[in-house]
Amino acid sequence: MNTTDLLFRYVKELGVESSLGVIGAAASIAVCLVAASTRPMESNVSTYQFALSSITFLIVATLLSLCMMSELLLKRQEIGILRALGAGKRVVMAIFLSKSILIGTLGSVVGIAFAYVFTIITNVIGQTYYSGESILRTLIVGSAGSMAGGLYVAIRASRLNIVETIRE
Amino acid sequence: MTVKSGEFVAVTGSTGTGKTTLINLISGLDFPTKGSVEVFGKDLSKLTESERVSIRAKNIGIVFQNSHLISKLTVIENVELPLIFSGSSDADRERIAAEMLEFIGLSKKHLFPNSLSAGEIRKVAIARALATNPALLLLDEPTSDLDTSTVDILLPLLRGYNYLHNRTIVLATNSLKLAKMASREIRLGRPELVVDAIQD
Repeated sequence: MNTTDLLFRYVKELGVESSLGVIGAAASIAVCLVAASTRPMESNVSTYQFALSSITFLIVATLLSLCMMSELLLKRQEIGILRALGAGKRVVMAIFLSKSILIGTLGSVVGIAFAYVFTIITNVIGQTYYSGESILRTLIVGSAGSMAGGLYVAIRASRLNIVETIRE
Repeated sequence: MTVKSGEFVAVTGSTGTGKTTLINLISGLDFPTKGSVEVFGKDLSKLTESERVSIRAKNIGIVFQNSHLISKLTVIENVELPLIFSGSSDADRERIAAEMLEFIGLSKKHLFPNSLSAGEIRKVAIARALATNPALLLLDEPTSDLDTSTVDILLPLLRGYNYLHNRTIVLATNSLKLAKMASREIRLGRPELVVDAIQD
Protein backbone atom coordinates (compact mmCIF):
# COMPACT_ATOMS: atom_id res chain seq x y z
CA MET A 1 0.00 0.00 0.00
CA ASN A 2 1.26 3.51 -0.77
CA THR A 3 -0.18 7.02 -0.38
CA THR A 4 -2.22 6.70 -3.59
CA ASP A 5 -3.72 3.40 -2.41
CA LEU A 6 -4.57 5.00 0.92
CA LEU A 7 -6.28 7.93 -0.82
CA PHE A 8 -8.16 5.49 -3.05
CA ARG A 9 -9.43 3.58 0.01
CA TYR A 10 -11.00 6.74 1.37
CA VAL A 11 -12.21 8.11 -1.95
CA LYS A 12 -13.93 4.91 -3.13
CA GLU A 13 -16.04 4.72 0.04
CA LEU A 14 -19.24 6.23 -1.29
CA GLY A 15 -21.69 6.26 1.59
CA VAL A 16 -25.10 7.93 1.95
CA GLU A 17 -23.55 11.42 2.24
CA SER A 18 -21.58 10.93 -0.97
CA SER A 19 -24.62 9.59 -2.82
CA LEU A 20 -26.66 12.61 -1.72
CA GLY A 21 -23.82 14.84 -2.91
CA VAL A 22 -23.82 13.16 -6.35
CA ILE A 23 -27.61 13.44 -6.61
CA GLY A 24 -27.60 17.09 -5.50
CA ALA A 25 -24.81 18.04 -7.89
CA ALA A 26 -26.50 16.11 -10.73
CA ALA A 27 -29.82 17.87 -10.13
CA SER A 28 -28.31 21.35 -10.10
CA ILE A 29 -26.16 20.62 -13.17
CA ALA A 30 -29.17 19.23 -15.04
CA VAL A 31 -31.30 22.27 -14.21
CA CYS A 32 -28.45 24.55 -15.29
CA LEU A 33 -28.00 22.73 -18.59
CA VAL A 34 -31.70 22.65 -19.42
CA ALA A 35 -32.01 26.31 -18.51
CA ALA A 36 -28.88 27.16 -20.53
CA SER A 37 -30.46 25.69 -23.65
CA THR A 38 -33.31 28.19 -23.46
CA ARG A 39 -32.23 31.55 -24.73
CA PRO A 40 -34.59 34.40 -23.84
CA MET A 41 -32.95 37.14 -25.87
CA GLU A 42 -30.05 36.72 -28.26
CA SER A 43 -28.37 39.90 -27.01
CA ASN A 44 -28.23 38.65 -23.41
CA VAL A 45 -26.95 35.14 -24.05
CA SER A 46 -23.54 35.58 -22.45
CA THR A 47 -24.93 37.33 -19.34
CA TYR A 48 -27.58 34.64 -19.02
CA GLN A 49 -25.01 31.83 -19.33
CA PHE A 50 -22.70 33.52 -16.84
CA ALA A 51 -25.51 33.97 -14.29
CA LEU A 52 -26.56 30.34 -14.66
CA SER A 53 -22.99 29.08 -14.33
CA SER A 54 -22.41 31.24 -11.23
CA ILE A 55 -25.59 30.03 -9.54
CA THR A 56 -24.73 26.40 -10.36
CA PHE A 57 -21.20 26.90 -9.04
CA LEU A 58 -22.53 28.27 -5.75
CA ILE A 59 -25.12 25.50 -5.37
CA VAL A 60 -22.60 22.72 -6.12
CA ALA A 61 -19.97 24.29 -3.81
CA THR A 62 -22.49 24.62 -0.95
CA LEU A 63 -23.85 21.10 -1.46
CA LEU A 64 -20.42 19.55 -1.61
CA SER A 65 -19.17 21.41 1.46
CA LEU A 66 -22.20 20.14 3.42
CA CYS A 67 -21.69 16.63 2.08
CA MET A 68 -17.96 16.61 2.88
CA MET A 69 -18.59 18.16 6.28
CA SER A 70 -20.77 15.20 7.27
CA GLU A 71 -18.03 12.93 5.89
CA LEU A 72 -15.54 14.76 8.12
CA LEU A 73 -17.76 14.34 11.19
CA LEU A 74 -17.86 10.59 10.57
CA LYS A 75 -14.13 10.29 9.98
CA ARG A 76 -12.77 12.69 12.60
CA GLN A 77 -11.15 9.98 14.68
CA GLU A 78 -9.54 8.22 11.71
CA ILE A 79 -8.12 11.52 10.51
CA GLY A 80 -6.74 12.14 14.01
CA ILE A 81 -5.12 8.68 14.05
CA LEU A 82 -3.54 9.20 10.61
CA ARG A 83 -2.18 12.58 11.73
CA ALA A 84 -0.84 11.08 14.97
CA LEU A 85 0.92 8.36 12.98
CA GLY A 86 2.73 10.98 10.93
CA ALA A 87 0.38 11.92 8.09
CA GLY A 88 0.94 15.51 7.01
CA LYS A 89 -1.80 18.06 6.48
CA ARG A 90 -1.43 17.57 2.73
CA VAL A 91 -2.43 13.90 2.95
CA VAL A 92 -5.60 14.80 4.87
CA MET A 93 -6.42 17.60 2.44
CA ALA A 94 -5.86 15.29 -0.53
CA ILE A 95 -8.34 12.75 0.90
CA PHE A 96 -11.14 15.31 1.17
CA LEU A 97 -10.34 17.25 -2.00
CA SER A 98 -10.11 14.19 -4.23
CA LYS A 99 -13.33 12.76 -2.86
CA SER A 100 -15.13 16.06 -3.30
CA ILE A 101 -13.92 16.42 -6.90
CA LEU A 102 -14.94 12.81 -7.63
CA ILE A 103 -18.45 13.41 -6.27
CA GLY A 104 -18.77 16.72 -8.16
CA THR A 105 -17.56 15.24 -11.44
CA LEU A 106 -19.80 12.17 -11.07
CA GLY A 107 -22.71 14.50 -10.32
CA SER A 108 -21.89 16.61 -13.38
CA VAL A 109 -21.77 13.58 -15.71
CA VAL A 110 -25.05 12.22 -14.32
CA GLY A 111 -26.60 15.71 -14.52
CA ILE A 112 -25.53 16.16 -18.17
CA ALA A 113 -26.94 12.74 -19.09
CA PHE A 114 -30.17 13.47 -17.22
CA ALA A 115 -30.60 16.87 -18.91
CA TYR A 116 -30.02 15.29 -22.33
CA VAL A 117 -32.59 12.54 -21.73
CA PHE A 118 -35.01 15.08 -20.28
CA THR A 119 -34.93 17.26 -23.37
CA ILE A 120 -35.31 14.26 -25.69
CA ILE A 121 -38.36 12.99 -23.78
CA THR A 122 -40.13 16.29 -23.31
CA ASN A 123 -38.88 18.11 -26.41
CA VAL A 124 -40.61 21.12 -24.84
CA ILE A 125 -37.84 23.49 -25.66
CA GLY A 126 -37.51 22.11 -29.14
CA GLN A 127 -33.86 21.26 -28.76
CA THR A 128 -32.44 17.82 -28.07
CA TYR A 129 -28.83 18.58 -28.73
CA TYR A 130 -26.24 20.31 -26.57
CA SER A 131 -23.09 21.80 -27.98
CA GLY A 132 -19.75 20.46 -26.83
CA GLU A 133 -19.05 23.94 -25.47
CA SER A 134 -22.03 23.98 -23.10
CA ILE A 135 -21.28 20.46 -21.88
CA LEU A 136 -17.64 21.34 -21.26
CA ARG A 137 -18.62 24.55 -19.48
CA THR A 138 -21.05 22.62 -17.25
CA LEU A 139 -18.39 20.02 -16.43
CA ILE A 140 -15.91 22.77 -15.52
CA VAL A 141 -18.47 24.60 -13.38
CA GLY A 142 -19.40 21.34 -11.59
CA SER A 143 -15.80 20.33 -10.95
CA ALA A 144 -14.78 23.84 -9.86
CA GLY A 145 -17.77 24.07 -7.51
CA SER A 146 -16.96 20.71 -5.96
CA MET A 147 -13.31 21.71 -5.60
CA ALA A 148 -14.27 24.95 -3.84
CA GLY A 149 -16.69 23.16 -1.50
CA GLY A 150 -14.18 20.39 -0.83
CA LEU A 151 -11.30 22.80 -0.24
CA TYR A 152 -13.10 24.46 2.67
CA VAL A 153 -13.69 21.10 4.40
CA ALA A 154 -10.19 19.84 3.51
CA ILE A 155 -8.62 22.85 5.25
CA ARG A 156 -10.81 22.29 8.32
CA ALA A 157 -9.92 18.58 8.36
CA SER A 158 -6.21 19.31 8.21
CA ARG A 159 -6.53 21.66 11.21
CA LEU A 160 -8.36 19.23 13.50
CA ASN A 161 -7.03 18.99 17.05
CA ILE A 162 -5.39 15.55 17.00
CA VAL A 163 -5.65 14.90 20.75
CA GLU A 164 -9.38 15.77 20.84
CA THR A 165 -10.22 13.57 17.86
CA ILE A 166 -8.33 10.58 19.27
CA ARG A 167 -10.11 10.90 22.63
CA GLU A 168 -13.57 10.75 20.99
CA MET B 1 12.26 15.45 34.04
CA THR B 2 14.77 13.98 31.61
CA VAL B 3 14.72 10.60 29.89
CA LYS B 4 18.05 9.43 28.51
CA SER B 5 18.47 7.67 25.20
CA GLY B 6 18.00 3.89 25.57
CA GLU B 7 16.13 4.14 28.88
CA PHE B 8 12.98 2.16 29.64
CA VAL B 9 10.81 4.44 31.77
CA ALA B 10 7.46 3.60 33.30
CA VAL B 11 5.17 6.52 34.08
CA THR B 12 2.69 5.48 36.73
CA GLY B 13 -0.03 7.19 38.70
CA SER B 14 -3.72 6.94 39.33
CA THR B 15 -6.35 7.99 36.81
CA GLY B 16 -6.32 11.69 35.97
CA THR B 17 -2.77 12.39 37.02
CA GLY B 18 -1.70 13.16 33.46
CA LYS B 19 -0.02 10.04 32.10
CA THR B 20 -1.76 10.27 28.71
CA THR B 21 -1.16 14.03 28.61
CA LEU B 22 2.55 13.40 29.17
CA ILE B 23 2.60 10.89 26.29
CA ASN B 24 0.77 13.43 24.08
CA LEU B 25 3.25 16.15 25.02
CA ILE B 26 6.28 13.98 24.26
CA SER B 27 4.82 12.96 20.89
CA GLY B 28 4.12 16.59 19.97
CA LEU B 29 0.39 15.99 19.68
CA ASP B 30 -0.28 18.42 22.53
CA PHE B 31 1.51 21.50 23.84
CA PRO B 32 2.36 22.53 27.39
CA THR B 33 0.66 25.60 28.86
CA LYS B 34 3.83 26.17 30.91
CA GLY B 35 7.42 25.00 30.42
CA SER B 36 8.77 23.20 27.39
CA VAL B 37 9.19 19.70 25.96
CA GLU B 38 12.41 18.78 24.21
CA VAL B 39 12.59 15.61 22.15
CA PHE B 40 15.89 14.59 20.53
CA GLY B 41 17.27 17.93 21.75
CA LYS B 42 14.62 19.99 19.96
CA ASP B 43 12.01 22.15 21.68
CA LEU B 44 8.78 20.87 20.11
CA SER B 45 6.90 24.15 20.50
CA LYS B 46 9.59 25.97 18.50
CA LEU B 47 9.38 23.59 15.54
CA THR B 48 7.10 24.09 12.57
CA GLU B 49 4.11 21.78 12.09
CA SER B 50 5.85 19.89 9.27
CA GLU B 51 9.01 19.43 11.38
CA ARG B 52 6.92 17.95 14.22
CA VAL B 53 5.11 15.67 11.76
CA SER B 54 8.46 14.54 10.35
CA ILE B 55 9.85 13.73 13.83
CA ARG B 56 6.68 11.82 14.71
CA ALA B 57 6.68 9.88 11.46
CA LYS B 58 10.35 8.90 11.47
CA ASN B 59 11.46 8.77 15.10
CA ILE B 60 8.46 8.15 17.36
CA GLY B 61 6.24 5.09 17.61
CA ILE B 62 2.98 5.46 19.53
CA VAL B 63 0.69 2.80 20.98
CA PHE B 64 -2.58 4.49 21.92
CA GLN B 65 -4.70 3.54 24.91
CA ASN B 66 -7.42 2.12 22.65
CA SER B 67 -5.07 0.83 19.93
CA HIS B 68 -6.95 2.86 17.29
CA LEU B 69 -6.50 0.66 14.24
CA ILE B 70 -8.11 1.84 10.99
CA SER B 71 -11.04 -0.51 10.48
CA LYS B 72 -11.13 -0.28 6.67
CA LEU B 73 -7.50 -1.41 6.37
CA THR B 74 -6.23 -4.95 6.85
CA VAL B 75 -3.80 -5.84 9.63
CA ILE B 76 -0.73 -5.56 7.39
CA GLU B 77 -1.97 -2.30 5.86
CA ASN B 78 -2.40 -0.83 9.34
CA VAL B 79 1.21 -1.73 10.10
CA GLU B 80 2.30 -0.18 6.79
CA LEU B 81 0.73 3.21 7.63
CA PRO B 82 3.66 4.78 9.52
CA LEU B 83 6.01 3.43 6.85
CA ILE B 84 4.04 5.31 4.19
CA PHE B 85 4.27 8.55 6.17
CA SER B 86 7.96 8.11 6.97
CA GLY B 87 8.75 7.75 3.27
CA SER B 88 9.82 4.09 3.06
CA SER B 89 10.13 2.68 -0.43
CA ASP B 90 7.33 0.58 -1.96
CA ALA B 91 9.51 -2.53 -1.87
CA ASP B 92 10.39 -2.15 1.81
CA ARG B 93 6.91 -1.40 3.20
CA GLU B 94 5.22 -4.76 2.84
CA ARG B 95 8.37 -6.68 3.79
CA ILE B 96 8.93 -4.65 6.99
CA ALA B 97 5.25 -4.84 7.96
CA ALA B 98 5.26 -8.63 7.48
CA GLU B 99 8.46 -8.90 9.54
CA MET B 100 6.94 -6.82 12.34
CA LEU B 101 3.84 -9.01 12.46
CA GLU B 102 6.06 -12.08 12.57
CA PHE B 103 8.09 -10.46 15.38
CA ILE B 104 4.99 -9.98 17.55
CA GLY B 105 3.65 -13.41 16.57
CA LEU B 106 0.58 -12.60 14.51
CA SER B 107 -0.11 -14.50 11.29
CA LYS B 108 -3.56 -13.05 10.45
CA LYS B 109 -2.11 -10.26 8.34
CA HIS B 110 -4.85 -10.06 5.71
CA LEU B 111 -7.77 -9.93 8.13
CA PHE B 112 -9.56 -6.74 9.12
CA PRO B 113 -9.28 -5.49 12.73
CA ASN B 114 -12.94 -6.26 13.54
CA SER B 115 -12.21 -9.99 13.28
CA LEU B 116 -9.34 -9.88 15.81
CA SER B 117 -9.40 -10.34 19.58
CA ALA B 118 -8.46 -7.48 21.96
CA GLY B 119 -5.02 -9.03 22.47
CA GLU B 120 -4.41 -9.39 18.74
CA ILE B 121 -5.53 -5.79 18.12
CA ARG B 122 -3.05 -4.62 20.75
CA LYS B 123 -0.31 -6.69 19.12
CA VAL B 124 -1.04 -5.03 15.75
CA ALA B 125 -0.91 -1.61 17.41
CA ILE B 126 2.51 -2.47 18.86
CA ALA B 127 3.73 -3.81 15.50
CA ARG B 128 2.53 -0.58 13.86
CA ALA B 129 4.43 1.50 16.42
CA LEU B 130 7.61 -0.55 15.89
CA ALA B 131 7.41 -0.59 12.08
CA THR B 132 9.64 2.43 11.50
CA ASN B 133 12.14 1.17 14.12
CA PRO B 134 11.61 4.40 16.07
CA ALA B 135 14.23 5.77 18.44
CA LEU B 136 11.44 6.53 20.92
CA LEU B 137 8.51 4.24 21.65
CA LEU B 138 5.57 5.68 23.59
CA LEU B 139 2.98 3.32 25.02
CA ASP B 140 -0.20 4.47 26.71
CA GLU B 141 -1.69 1.75 28.93
CA PRO B 142 -0.70 -1.01 26.49
CA THR B 143 -2.06 -3.85 28.62
CA SER B 144 -5.21 -2.26 30.04
CA ASP B 145 -7.71 -4.59 28.34
CA LEU B 146 -5.57 -7.70 27.99
CA ASP B 147 -5.58 -11.05 29.77
CA THR B 148 -2.53 -12.18 31.77
CA SER B 149 -1.25 -14.61 29.14
CA THR B 150 -1.21 -11.94 26.42
CA VAL B 151 0.52 -9.53 28.79
CA ASP B 152 3.15 -12.20 29.49
CA ILE B 153 3.83 -12.43 25.76
CA LEU B 154 4.01 -8.67 25.18
CA LEU B 155 6.27 -7.78 28.10
CA PRO B 156 9.38 -9.67 26.89
CA LEU B 157 8.84 -8.17 23.43
CA LEU B 158 9.05 -4.65 24.81
CA ARG B 159 11.98 -5.46 27.07
CA GLY B 160 13.78 -7.12 24.17
CA TYR B 161 13.16 -4.14 21.90
CA ASN B 162 14.60 -1.79 24.50
CA TYR B 163 17.59 -3.98 25.34
CA LEU B 164 18.55 -5.40 21.94
CA HIS B 165 17.92 -2.31 19.83
CA ASN B 166 18.89 0.23 22.52
CA ARG B 167 15.63 2.12 21.92
CA THR B 168 14.02 4.48 24.41
CA ILE B 169 10.64 3.41 25.80
CA VAL B 170 8.25 5.58 27.79
CA LEU B 171 5.37 3.54 29.10
CA ALA B 172 2.31 4.98 30.84
CA THR B 173 0.69 2.32 32.97
CA ASN B 174 -1.31 1.50 36.07
CA SER B 175 0.07 -2.03 36.14
CA LEU B 176 2.68 -2.64 38.82
CA LYS B 177 3.84 -5.74 36.97
CA LEU B 178 4.55 -3.68 33.87
CA ALA B 179 6.13 -0.82 35.80
CA LYS B 180 8.54 -3.24 37.50
CA MET B 181 9.93 -4.22 34.11
CA ALA B 182 11.15 -0.69 33.43
CA SER B 183 14.59 0.49 34.48
CA ARG B 184 13.08 3.59 36.04
CA GLU B 185 9.68 4.56 37.38
CA ILE B 186 8.25 8.06 37.38
CA ARG B 187 5.18 8.29 39.60
CA LEU B 188 2.82 11.16 38.83
CA GLY B 189 0.58 12.49 41.56
CA ARG B 190 -1.34 15.54 42.67
CA PRO B 191 -0.55 18.33 43.12
CA GLU B 192 2.56 18.27 40.90
CA LEU B 193 4.04 15.45 42.94
CA VAL B 194 6.52 13.46 40.93
CA VAL B 195 8.51 10.56 42.38
CA ASP B 196 11.39 9.48 40.22
CA ALA B 197 12.96 6.13 41.16
CA ILE B 198 15.66 4.01 39.56
CA GLN B 199 14.76 0.32 39.71
CA ASP B 200 16.85 -2.84 39.63
